[in-house]
Amino acid sequence: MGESIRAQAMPRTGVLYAFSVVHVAAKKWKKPMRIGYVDLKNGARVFTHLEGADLAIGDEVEVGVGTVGDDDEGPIRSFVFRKVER
Amino acid sequence: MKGASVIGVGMIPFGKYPDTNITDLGWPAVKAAIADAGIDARRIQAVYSGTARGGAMVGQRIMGRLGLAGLPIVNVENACSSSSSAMAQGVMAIASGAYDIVLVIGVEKLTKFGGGTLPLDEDDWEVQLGLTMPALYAMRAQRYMHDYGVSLKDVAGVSVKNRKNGALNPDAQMRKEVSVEEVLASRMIADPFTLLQCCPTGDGAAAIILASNAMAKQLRSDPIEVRASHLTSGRFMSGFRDMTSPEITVRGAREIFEEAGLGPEDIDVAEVHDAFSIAELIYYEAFGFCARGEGAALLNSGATGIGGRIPINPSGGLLAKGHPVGATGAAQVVEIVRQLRGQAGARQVEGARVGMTHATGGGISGFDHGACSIHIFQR
Repeated sequence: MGESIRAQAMPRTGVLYAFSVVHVAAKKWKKPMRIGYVDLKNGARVFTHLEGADLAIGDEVEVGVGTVGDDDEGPIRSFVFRKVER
Repeated sequence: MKGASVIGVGMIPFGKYPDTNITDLGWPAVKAAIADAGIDARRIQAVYSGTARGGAMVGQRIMGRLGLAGLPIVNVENACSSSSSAMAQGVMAIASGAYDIVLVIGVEKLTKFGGGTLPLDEDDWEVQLGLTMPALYAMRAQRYMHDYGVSLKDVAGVSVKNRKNGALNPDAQMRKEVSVEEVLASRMIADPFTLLQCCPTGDGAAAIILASNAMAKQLRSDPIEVRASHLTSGRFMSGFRDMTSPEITVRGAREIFEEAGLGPEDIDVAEVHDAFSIAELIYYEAFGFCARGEGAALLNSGATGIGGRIPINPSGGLLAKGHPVGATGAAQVVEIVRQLRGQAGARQVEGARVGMTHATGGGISGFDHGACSIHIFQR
């Protein structure tokens, strides 16, 4: 327990722990919606949208920004992870 | 501490009742439980009523409709564990010595949401980003298949088994058997889950009358004793965790077996929380019915079918009986009590003496699940 929370720079890359291609979700999300958990090297796990059709568990992925849906206020922009191209 | 026994159970068949309000779903289950117990309803001293999405004061509404209000009524919300948590409160109330007879209710109406996935709390940061319950379990399934080399056909086999059981249960929502090919060919919801690997949306109600062991013996010749009752919450973990091993159920299983002085080998029949196909395999392992990674092999061996070594979800489980979330825990108790009394008809597990129920749920960021309640019963 603690209240000493502070903002910290996070690693930009991580490893894809698990993901799903989701076909049924709220209307505002772009479908199929790719979502998953990415494990960062500093021990944090991030729930995130993903981009790319050829994803696999264990892939190295890198953070960027993308459009993940649309609501009344326009496009929904979020951080997204994509496979690191070698 | 005084022990508690079940002296009456009742439920309405799970299904879709869009034109029936939650009060009218609930009271017939209570009436059936009172009739089953054969007691004067005025002997009930307190009520613990579970619903996840039913709104405020559901216990009062139901008891008021029956003309039985005016006693302590506690409404319990704990997501999919709402009525199993209410059950744990009822057992504890008897154990405290405060009451000799209490009523436990579970009731839910999900058709009011008009279909789609179960609405989750928008305050949650993963929900804000689009997480749904099928997607969460789908990720567990993907990782499980990856780690243990299990095929999707194996995972889908859970739906085949539980739909087969549900076909034998007049209280089940889904009463038609399905083949593994039909399961895999149904509409894709969240990869790898097709529609038939997800529990259906529905409504339902179930009720249980508990009495102190001494009182129970005066009231009927075949009370079903609550051997152990367990409730816990998940733990928050912000970092890496193994999604193929359900932290809350592994811990709950260890603790209830210790409390009961029993092990997995002593359980004759169990109802576990198969909200999605993968869940049942993971729970086989969490309860120690088999080793880690052996869930699919246990299923394929036939051991968990009716007539097998350890029949799981003879009612059809959440996948076939249905999952009106707040009613599920109470309905699991109804099934196990019927099994232990030998009243389960075509789906009877022969000679069952010790049974178990397990309801867990609540999607919260950083938690395996929010709540988990497990009960062990014996005749």
